[in-house]
Amino acid sequence: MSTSILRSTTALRTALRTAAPQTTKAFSTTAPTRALATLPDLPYDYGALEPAISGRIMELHHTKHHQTYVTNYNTVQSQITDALSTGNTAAAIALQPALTFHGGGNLNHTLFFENLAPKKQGGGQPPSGPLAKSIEMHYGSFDKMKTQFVAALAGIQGSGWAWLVQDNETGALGIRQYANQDPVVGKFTPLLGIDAWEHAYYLQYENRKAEYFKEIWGVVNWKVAEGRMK
Amino acid sequence: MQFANLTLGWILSLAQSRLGVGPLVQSKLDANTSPPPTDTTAYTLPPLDYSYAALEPHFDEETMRIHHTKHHQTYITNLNAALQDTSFASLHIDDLVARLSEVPAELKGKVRNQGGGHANHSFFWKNLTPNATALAEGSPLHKGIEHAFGSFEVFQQTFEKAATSVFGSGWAWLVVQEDGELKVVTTLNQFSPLMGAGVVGNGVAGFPVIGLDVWEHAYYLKYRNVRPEYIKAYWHVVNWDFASDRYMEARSSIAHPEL
Repeated sequence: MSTSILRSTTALRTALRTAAPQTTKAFSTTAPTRALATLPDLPYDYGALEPAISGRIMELHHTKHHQTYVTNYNTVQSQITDALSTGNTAAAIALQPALTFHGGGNLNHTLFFENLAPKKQGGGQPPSGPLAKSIEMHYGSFDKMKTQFVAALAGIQGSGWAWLVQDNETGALGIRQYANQDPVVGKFTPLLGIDAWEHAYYLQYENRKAEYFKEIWGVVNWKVAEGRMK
Repeated sequence: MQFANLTLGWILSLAQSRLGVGPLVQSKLDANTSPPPTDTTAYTLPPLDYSYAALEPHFDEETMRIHHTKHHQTYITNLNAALQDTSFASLHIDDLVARLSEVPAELKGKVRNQGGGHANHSFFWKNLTPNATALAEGSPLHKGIEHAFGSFEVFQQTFEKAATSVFGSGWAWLVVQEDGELKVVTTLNQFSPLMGAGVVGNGVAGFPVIGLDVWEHAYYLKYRNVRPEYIKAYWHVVNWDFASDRYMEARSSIAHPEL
């Protein structure tokens, strides 16, 4: 039932992505071009995160939800580029919410699927290096950080995400809620994100989101999170 | 804006007159001086007028059951917990959300989210029916829709587009605004047009005539990510009799409606 979709390593894909900047090109003031986003592969099979997240959810989440963000992000890019290249400032600005939503949705889901892993690929194993030290310093213990993270998830009204972030200036860790598909940009670097939209868990957990917020820790990839630290 | 208070006042008087509420709601809400809570001062889950399976195949039984007994119930449970040391729960829920600006600061967020959830879902269940009939062309609501949108078809397209475009959790509504005009609006999360312009803005405040829940829990089990299909299915279960009553109520409270 689950398909093997591994075609390249996470590191290779990350390198490819950083080599093809998407955002700067879209806002160039001369002959604007755009880098079309594509749906990144998952580094594991759809069923590999069971029982924490069902294969059915992973497949829908990846092939439908994330794909739709990718498709619509490309449409919005095209619309903004056209607006900017014809000097239509108002139209470009009017597209900001759509850019935030679809572009943010693409960013968030790309990072999310990367920061999950099956148990046999290290999913759920607590961090041990610099991230572990930083968590201890800022929260007292890994468990205390987790408690705060779960509280942040549980407190989200409507759709949104909770992220463990790093302050770009001070290096301090923080846990922040982001509404809808608002991405972690600007002052903070996203380290680890958990999707709290209903589609992330509903088919398996229905309204019992507290269960999902508990079980997801078994498939969290702390190595990837640590790799995102600055 | 001066319109903010006008809209709130109109919605409040409408809510109060149709509910026949007494002197308690005429005075400013104050947790310290209102009467002590009684055992009956708590919101309860209103029963549906139809079975959970009655809206099949458009709205599936499992979703209706979970939506009513879990999601709606949770809003009520949380709201009652937040209000337990007050007597606000003696207010009709529509009245409570219309008076959100008067709720003490420390309770505002909870009343907005949980109270909004209770009000919106209570309205939603009445908005649906297994015995849906088309809105009669000569009826006041149909005429009002034609006046506001040009045609019923354009209204439906406008509503569908709005419901599809909610970027996250929220609702799509057809509301009567203060000038008597119909308008399609959307709210995020559990905001309600009843909360007034001070909370949802001048362009969104109004008296709901129909409403559609577009939180994923409202459609995910059957429709997955395909929200547009769910929206199309909604037209098969809209209670236009209830909607017409709502429209006439709103219009009758306006001194000089445009039509």
